[in-house]
Amino acid sequence: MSSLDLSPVAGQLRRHSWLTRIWKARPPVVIGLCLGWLALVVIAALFAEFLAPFGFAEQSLLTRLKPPALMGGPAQSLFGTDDLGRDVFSRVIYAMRTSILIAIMATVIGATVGTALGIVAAHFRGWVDDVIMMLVDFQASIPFLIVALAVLAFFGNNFLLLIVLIGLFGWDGYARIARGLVLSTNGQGYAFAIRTLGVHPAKVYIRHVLPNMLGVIMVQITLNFPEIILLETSLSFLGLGVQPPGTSLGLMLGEGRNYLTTAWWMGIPAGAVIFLTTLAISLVGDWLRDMLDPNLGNKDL
Amino acid sequence: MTDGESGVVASNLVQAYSSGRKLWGKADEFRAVDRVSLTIAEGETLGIVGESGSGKSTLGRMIAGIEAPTSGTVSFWGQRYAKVGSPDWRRQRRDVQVVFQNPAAVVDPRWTIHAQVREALTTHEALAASEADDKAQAMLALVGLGTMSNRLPHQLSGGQLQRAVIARALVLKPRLVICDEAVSALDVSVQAQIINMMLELRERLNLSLMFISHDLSVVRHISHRVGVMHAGQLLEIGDSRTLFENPQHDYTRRLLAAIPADSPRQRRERDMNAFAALAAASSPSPIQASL
Repeated sequence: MSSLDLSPVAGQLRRHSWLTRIWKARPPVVIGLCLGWLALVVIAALFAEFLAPFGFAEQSLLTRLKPPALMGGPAQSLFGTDDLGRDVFSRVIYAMRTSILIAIMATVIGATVGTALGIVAAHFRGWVDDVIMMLVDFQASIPFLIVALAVLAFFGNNFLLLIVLIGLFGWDGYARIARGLVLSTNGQGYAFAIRTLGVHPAKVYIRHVLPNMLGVIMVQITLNFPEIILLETSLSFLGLGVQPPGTSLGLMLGEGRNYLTTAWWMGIPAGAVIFLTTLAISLVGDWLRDMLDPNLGNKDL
Repeated sequence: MTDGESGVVASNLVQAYSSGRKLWGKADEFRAVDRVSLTIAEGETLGIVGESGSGKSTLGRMIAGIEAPTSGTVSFWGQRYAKVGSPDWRRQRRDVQVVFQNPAAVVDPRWTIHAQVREALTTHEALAASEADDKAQAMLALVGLGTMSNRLPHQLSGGQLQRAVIARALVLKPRLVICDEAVSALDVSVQAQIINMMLELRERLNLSLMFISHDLSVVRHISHRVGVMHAGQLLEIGDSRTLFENPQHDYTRRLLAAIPADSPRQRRERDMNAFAALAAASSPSPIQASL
């Protein structure tokens, strides 16, 4: 034993959980602002009924197209009113709920399906890999918006179909990333080594490969999430997404387009929310990636 | 498991890869390992030396059973390896372990080294949680990492991490450990630590070792017998001292001449001889040799 004590005695290192690590890292001001904005968006989406002063379909034809409260409009309408006299502020809050809900569900669908297919492709190789990668190429080469329009026009519009359709947008990105990561760890990396210990492949994927992929998948989500919001926005803008009297950010933007020169407040607030939300998610995602990387998380050394 | 026959007997191992497919006719075949037979007795250390691409790693992978040979057989304590990836194959893993060159690539960067050693243990043995913890901790203490068991891989040096990997390999008390260039990436003083540790653990656990390296002096130090590989073939195999002092094969002589010498004058003389020998017969590429 004595000759084997080769290393100088070092004190036990305290290991921090990733939550503590994020807390200790003291997010920069910009990230703080982004997190604050995202928190606001989530709160608005969750508690729309309590926060919105009016219902999203509540019309008042006598007060149509009034400018925002601070620009000479009626005091009760913070962002003014639209062409049917509906309160723009209330509608933005409800629109956030719809758009965020669709984006979150669609992202979950895309990330799950894509990652699973990528792992399956890399694990089985051979014809399974060929078929899945062919689908990925297929997905990447078709103009998704056109297909989505065709599907929605053909099958009629319903909320579930819309979510599934938007969810399938971007799965190919996850599949490619997952496949590449699994291939590299299966080849010579830790997944291969741990399998030679006799651990079942399924356990290797669940315990080791997936948690290690999470950082990269997270970044892909933050890249994909804004795109999904924009896709939902585009579909609604074109009239094939969320249908009136329902509301979404894209639909509001679409309705506001006709009045852009005369009543800009109808579309601009929705556009600003889209812009700020997608930007905030991208920045936070980048920062989170750095936090979750164990090789960069050397703050606790 | 003991069927009277102990140790490893490999006979006529061939690993062939097809390189490119022609439109008509058969694909070119490249034999990474070509008809190699060898034995490793219980408790014995067999060194395998050879230049890069000579097939020594492929040979090691076949002996370990993580790659099935194209033809030939491996008898491991009287047993054949099951199909790679099958449940039987997974059970066989506890008896044969491989230590690779780059320790950072073979550990999960998110798990403490204690958790990784523990995982190897609990994969093959149903243990109470505290017992598994203790056994893993004891194994890490044995390789001198007792105080660092809660560290993540990136918090250890290369040598420390390689010791953790060795702990993970040895915690199941395997019969055979294959070290594939296990110390080649480490600096010389750390190499010495790890090799001395391996020597001690070898005695303690009655391990059979297959020590693959391009570093002749390391192999000489640790091995009972040494085999020389070149272009997929085992040119020569024999007792370590005999082979190093009286090499039979011309290639072995040239390989030995490439060991750095102790004094500049000695080195000059050797270099002259070595270069003359190399110029006389430059070593053929493995692909050409197989065609």
